[in-house]
Amino acid sequence: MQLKELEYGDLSEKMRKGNIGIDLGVASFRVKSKLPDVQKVFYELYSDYSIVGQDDPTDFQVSIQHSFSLRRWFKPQISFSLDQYTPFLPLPRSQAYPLLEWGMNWCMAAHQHNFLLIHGAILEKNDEALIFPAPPGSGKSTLCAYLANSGWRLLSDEMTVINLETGLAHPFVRPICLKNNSIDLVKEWFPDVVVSNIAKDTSKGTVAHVKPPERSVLDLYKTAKVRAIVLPHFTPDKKLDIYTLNKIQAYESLSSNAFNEGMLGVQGFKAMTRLIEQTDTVEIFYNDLNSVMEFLTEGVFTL
Amino acid sequence: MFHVSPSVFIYNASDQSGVLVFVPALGKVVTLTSKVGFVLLALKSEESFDFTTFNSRIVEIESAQVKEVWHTLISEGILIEEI
Repeated sequence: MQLKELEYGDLSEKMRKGNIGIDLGVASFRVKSKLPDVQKVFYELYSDYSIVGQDDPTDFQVSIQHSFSLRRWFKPQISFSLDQYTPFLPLPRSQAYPLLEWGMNWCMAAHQHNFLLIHGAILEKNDEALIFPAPPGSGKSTLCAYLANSGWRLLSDEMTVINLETGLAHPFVRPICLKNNSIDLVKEWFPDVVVSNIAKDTSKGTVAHVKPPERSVLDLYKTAKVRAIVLPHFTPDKKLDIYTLNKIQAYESLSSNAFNEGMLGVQGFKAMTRLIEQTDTVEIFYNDLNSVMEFLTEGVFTL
Repeated sequence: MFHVSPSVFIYNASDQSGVLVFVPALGKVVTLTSKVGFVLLALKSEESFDFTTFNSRIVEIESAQVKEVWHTLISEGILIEEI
């Protein structure tokens, strides 16, 4: 049963009680919140996902609630919790929904060590997946939103999930987090996409979340073979410059974006080196998304 | 002072761009960006080390060899960069 088959009133009631569970493929989350705006955005962005049965277990039980302090009466704040644990300092009330998304990412990065987890987007076209590991400000999420709404299958905007045994990538499809100017750009390019309300003055600037394409959500259990690693750098004065990286450079770039390679020890090292061996790696400097997409679609990464 | 690991894992990149050594006890990966040829010779000189296995992408060196191999890497200055 998809979330959208629930009436909004039912969703709201279940979220108040923490009785709404969502299947995200490699993990499931039960989400609790009494905040109307969080309920509304969650309903809009996760409408295509399957609901976990009320009595079925979930991997993570999270909540977004008002902080229990006098501050809730002036300049109110909100807190994210996993079970009874609150890992972050409270944030302003206006950042409630982004905090839910960031908290869910943290749950995975800090606990889901059955997989190699890499900070990076991953998308697939023609049965070949590309990983885009990149720090904030590289244009990764804008590029990700562009490709995901141009015929590419979104596996994740934020976290690449690699199977330790097979080396295949598992989808972890989530709303795409856009920052600052990219919010208006994506709205202009794709007027029909669903974009959440905007949260200003966050640690990442102004942010909004974009609903993932339904086709990507329906393929939550379809793994993908990774073809290449692409390191994106949005550079205003360069249309498209491409450089290849050798295996050792590729390892260093990927390793610096890995969440849990060290935690996994030998398993992490083997998974990383296997990934490097089976892929090519390029670094791209760009300001024209169409040129990037043409290059990526062509699928030739050894120059 | 380096702690000697019970085993190390070596990744020999297929494009010959370098060799990575992972030392579980240190929890670190060491990049060998040069002198790769010397590493090969050093490993080859270990009588108990099966050099042919170095053709595989990841070679596990068991505890019988690790001390000598590791000390060779240290004493000859092969360890260039920690990442």
